[in-house]
Amino acid sequence: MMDTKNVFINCPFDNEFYPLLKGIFFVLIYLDFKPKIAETSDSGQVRILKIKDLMLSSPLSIHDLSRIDPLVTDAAARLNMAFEMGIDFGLKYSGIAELEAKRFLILEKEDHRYKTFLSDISGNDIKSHRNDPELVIKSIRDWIKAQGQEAAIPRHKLIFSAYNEFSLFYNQMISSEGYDPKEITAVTFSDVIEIMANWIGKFKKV
Amino acid sequence: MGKKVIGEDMKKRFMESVEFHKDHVHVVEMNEGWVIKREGSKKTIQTVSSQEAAMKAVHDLKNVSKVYVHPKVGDISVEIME
Repeated sequence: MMDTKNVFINCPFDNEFYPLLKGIFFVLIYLDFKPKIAETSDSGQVRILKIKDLMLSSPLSIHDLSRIDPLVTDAAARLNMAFEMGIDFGLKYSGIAELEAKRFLILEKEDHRYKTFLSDISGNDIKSHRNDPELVIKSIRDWIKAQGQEAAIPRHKLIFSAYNEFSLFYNQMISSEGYDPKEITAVTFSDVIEIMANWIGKFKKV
Repeated sequence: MGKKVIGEDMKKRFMESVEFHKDHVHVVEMNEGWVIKREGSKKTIQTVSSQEAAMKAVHDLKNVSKVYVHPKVGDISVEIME
């Protein structure tokens, strides 16, 4: 069942991307949306089926293609993100009426780079973030605003400065508990999201 | 290695540790400049063109005990004010 506030996130899971991913979580929660992402170590369920269920429950999706390149020279390209985006497009155009309204934001590293490897996605909402969390937050904030679902949306400047405040709090707390805040595998995404939602709720009430 | 699910005790510590100190000021590097704001505030005090200008502006503010500087690249630094 679709929840109008669900946003499916398809992105790479590596430490370099982690600040961008936390920015994605943060702006979505700040704007009262619910990030939906598959944990890297889901057990007892075929991962792609879990991803399909998340897509089916999410009218909005964010697909990040910025890490199509191999992590190291001579390694193979990283195709999971493009593969998952293809499944989401397949659902949208499956002929099932409820899914036709799905909306996608495609994030890239550089302007127009996708045209060299995936030109079929031209015409969709595609933004480049240049590996900058501020641009990620701005792109998502502007995209959400363009969907017309929210009457009043704060400027990205407020959200990004709040994200920096949260990062200080989170990094200090997680380090004091013996975890590495820069390590994407340290804490589950659901825990990060819960901690973030609590902090944002209190920030909004100040 | 699988991820760690943090315990309820730890989560409770996180939840209860959220505080906003109005005498803490944050200087955040953004694409339009360096933004100065008080902790927990929704309003920007000032946006200036450089980190040096931001620190100068912060030193002119009253009731500031700590300044956190958030550069786009590198770690967050803290300055304790006298």
